[in-house]
Formats: sequence, C-alpha cells, structure tokens
Amino acid sequence: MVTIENLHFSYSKHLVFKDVSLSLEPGKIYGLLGQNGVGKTTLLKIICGLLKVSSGSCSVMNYDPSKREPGFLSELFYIPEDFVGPDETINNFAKHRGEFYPSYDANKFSRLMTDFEVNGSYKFTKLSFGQQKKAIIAFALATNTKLILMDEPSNGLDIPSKSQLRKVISEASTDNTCIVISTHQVRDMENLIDPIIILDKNGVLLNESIESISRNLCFDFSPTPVEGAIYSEPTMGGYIVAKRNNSEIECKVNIEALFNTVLSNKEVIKDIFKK
Amino acid sequence: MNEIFNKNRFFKLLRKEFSERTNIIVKIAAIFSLLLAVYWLSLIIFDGGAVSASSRTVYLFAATFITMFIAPFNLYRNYNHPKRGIESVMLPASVTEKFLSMLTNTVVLLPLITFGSILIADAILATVTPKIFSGYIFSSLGSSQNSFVSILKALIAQFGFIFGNFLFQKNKALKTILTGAGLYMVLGLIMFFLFTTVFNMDFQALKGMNIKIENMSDLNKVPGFESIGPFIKGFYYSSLAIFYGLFPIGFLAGTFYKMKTQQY
Repeated sequence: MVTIENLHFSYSKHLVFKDVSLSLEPGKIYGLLGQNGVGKTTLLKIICGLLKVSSGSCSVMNYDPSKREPGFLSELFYIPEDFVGPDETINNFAKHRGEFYPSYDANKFSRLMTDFEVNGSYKFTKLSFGQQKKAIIAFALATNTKLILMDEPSNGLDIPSKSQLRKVISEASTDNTCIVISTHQVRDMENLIDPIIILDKNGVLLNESIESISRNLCFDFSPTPVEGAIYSEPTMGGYIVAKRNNSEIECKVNIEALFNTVLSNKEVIKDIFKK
Repeated sequence: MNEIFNKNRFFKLLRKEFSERTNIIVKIAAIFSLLLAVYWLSLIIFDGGAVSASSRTVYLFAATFITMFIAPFNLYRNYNHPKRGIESVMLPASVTEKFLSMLTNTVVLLPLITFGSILIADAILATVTPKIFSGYIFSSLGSSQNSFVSILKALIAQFGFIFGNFLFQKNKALKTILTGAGLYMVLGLIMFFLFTTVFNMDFQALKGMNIKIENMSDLNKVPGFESIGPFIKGFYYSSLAIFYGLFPIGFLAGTFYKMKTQQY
C-alpha cells in the first residue's frame, strides 16, 4: 500500500530523513513511534502528499502522493494533530465533504458521532479541541478510505473517549485498510497498534509485528536489576527489564519499555531483528 | 476517475465552497448596500439635495471593485495556512477544479452578488424617495463608456490580489499592495530613465515644436522622430501587452502553480 525507498527529506538545512525505506501493508494498524522532532508528522505528511520528497521515492496505492490526484485523495484521509475545524456545523461539514469520498457512509458517521457523544448540529468553532477531534475522527472513519493517517489521535480526548477511540479504530480496520497512528501516548494505543514502527533521526529503527517482537524480546518486572538484560528501567518497587526471549513462549510486549529499549540499544535491536 | 477535470466533481466543489462562504458573501454585499442606505439617510437628515443616478453609478462600480480586491483575502485566506489549509488541499478534487471554483467564487459570484445587492438597494431607495435619489442606476449603466475598460483593469488588479493571497502566508493584503506598488515604481523608474536619459535629446526637441500627438501614427509625422518613433510604438504596444496579457496570465499561472505545489 505504501512503499518508501531511499527517502531523503530536509527542511531548509535541517535534515529529517536520510535514506529511509519503509513498506506498509493493508490489513494492519501501524503504530508510529519516535522522539520529538524525529519526523513522525513529516513522514505522515509525505505519505499524504502535503510535503514533497527531496530525493528517493514514495508511492501510495501506486500514486505519487505529491501530485495530489483526486483518485488518490479519495482513498486517503489524514487527521492532523491539531485539527482546526471550519466555521460550519459538523453535519454540514460531513454532508459537503462526504460526497467526495466514494465509500462514504453517512449512517456510520452518525453512529460514530453518537458513540463519541458529539452533537453534529454544533459548529466546530463552538466545540472544545477534544470534541472537534472526535468529530473529525468519526468523519475520517466514515469515509471508509483505504489509508487513514492519524497524528496523535488521542491527544485532547478524555478517558472514556480514548477507550471508545480504540474500539472504533479496531472496528474500522479491515483486510483492505491500512491505518497509521503516530503517537506519544503509547498506553492509549496498547493492544491496538500492530506492527510497531520506531523512527529515529537516522531512519527506521524497528518495523516489526507484535508477534515478532514478543518472539524475540521479553519484558518483565524484577525487584533487582537483571544481569544480561538489554535494558532495565527503574520503576516503583523494582525494574522493568527487557531481555532476549530465549524461550519458545511469546511474551507480552510493553510498548513503552520497547521504545526505550530500542532507542538505547540500536545496534543490538538491529542485530536481533536482522532478517 | 478523471484526475484533471470532472464536471460533476467541479460543481459539487463549487456548491460546497459557495455554501461554506455564503455568510461572508452576504455580509460583504450587505455592508456595501448598507453604506448606500446610510448615505441616503444622511441626505435626508442633513438635507443634502438630490444625487443623480450617474453619481451613484460611480459608487456602484467603486464598491464592486473594492469587493473584487478583498474577495481572495476574505474567501480563500486559509488555503495556504499550514494548519487550516490542509482540509482544503486534502479534499478529493483536482487542482484545476479547486482553481476554477476559487475563481468562480472570487471573480464572479461575490462581485456579482454585491453588484446586484447595491443595485436592488438603490432601486428601492430611488423608488421611495425619487427626489433624493433621482433616476435608477440600472438605466444609466450602459452609458458609462469606460466601464468595460475599468472592469478589465479591475479584473487584472484582482488577479494580482488573488496571486498575492496564495503567495504570502501572513499580512497578505499589505504585502500584495506593497509588492504591486514596488512593481509599478520599478516600471516607472525604467520609463523615467528612458525618457530623461536615453531619449532626452529627442524629447527636448519635441518640446519646442508645436505639434499634437493623438495616436501612435502621428509620431511618423514628427520630423526627427523617425529614429525613435518605432521604439516608442514598440514600447507602447509592449506595455499594453504586458499589462493586458502578461500580467493577468502570469498572475493566474502563478496562482495555479502555488495551489498545485504548496507544501504544508
């Protein structure tokens, strides 16, 4: 669905991506993780055509995203982190835009709005940031596009809405759709995102399924530091430890610990997941 | 799916963009109509006498031209905004359709609605108080000989404002006006240099002669002007071509290019 090869991108003199290659497949909900400023939003913007690559290539559903052709745009929806709604009612917004998406489902939109407890007769400008975000997420999922890119979707959402968000995203995922969620709030997206992509200044550090991660790494809690652990992080009453999984049993993945493990042991992780 | 232009998609887009902007369009048209009503009221209060239809025609055109100039900044201010513009650019329609829809709203619909609104307001006021507003504007519309040229010039200027709206991200109107003024100053300086330095002798000679030049062919009759006559003609026609051809085409092409390549 998305193929990125030898991507180079920079803002003026600030290099963001150097020789990044990545492939995203349909039927999955990708979690895009990375420290501030590594280029998560930039990557999403390149995929949806808001930014043009300096060199290398990015192909999305066999389209060149930078051309922003209607056929491409009608199969993709991008939710920016700080969505600013127009000065019109949500229902009008959905009615006017929905007809541009061939698979738009107005009933699904109404249902999602009810689930999120947002009143569609209000103007965006009269709603809180979280309410606006829920409305645009409901609309994005109702378009039934093949590719949905979400930048920090759980930001600004209250606790019940976060679990609602997980539910509606998992329901929206089909064999033909690909959802990419860029987030810092890994706990909000736990049990939802799979595979996990971890970005670094020098490119993609990890792009693996939860199954593959749990086959190769084990996350555990220990009262004392464990010898031979790849990573250990002090926490209340002990340590969160990441070590190689030498058993045949799959371990539960702690995404936060995984992220820290990958960032502090880049070469070891590369070696573990070498294909 | 036609990726460049699809009639149905274009009309869907036009309907969507117009309905989203109805409030602001109505507001602008109402303001200019109300200004006419305020003027009419002030004439009643201060016993200002009668105002002819031709004088009010000047207001009609002035208001319409102002509307044309402010239209892009009011209707499409957010298109190149790094956050607010994303929603428009990600809408599944081609750049051609978005460009044409934008032109239809800014060049045709808003000015036309303002024009019609003032015309109706004037007709009502002239009917109510024929002694104050004598005659009807619409009956004197055709008599304005220069109106076509004025509309054409206003249209070219509007294309410049549209381009400025897509070229600049902040202080769009101010930057467009300053850039336009700068451009005219540069052109003026070039002309000043040509007439006062390069061809100064020829023009000094012309000053002493008692001749009248009403059109370009009269230049051929001026003794001693055989050498620079073709140059002046060429310069004159080039200026016309630049102003009436290159400028509007350049502004429109520039706007289209910015819409197509704008990064967010």
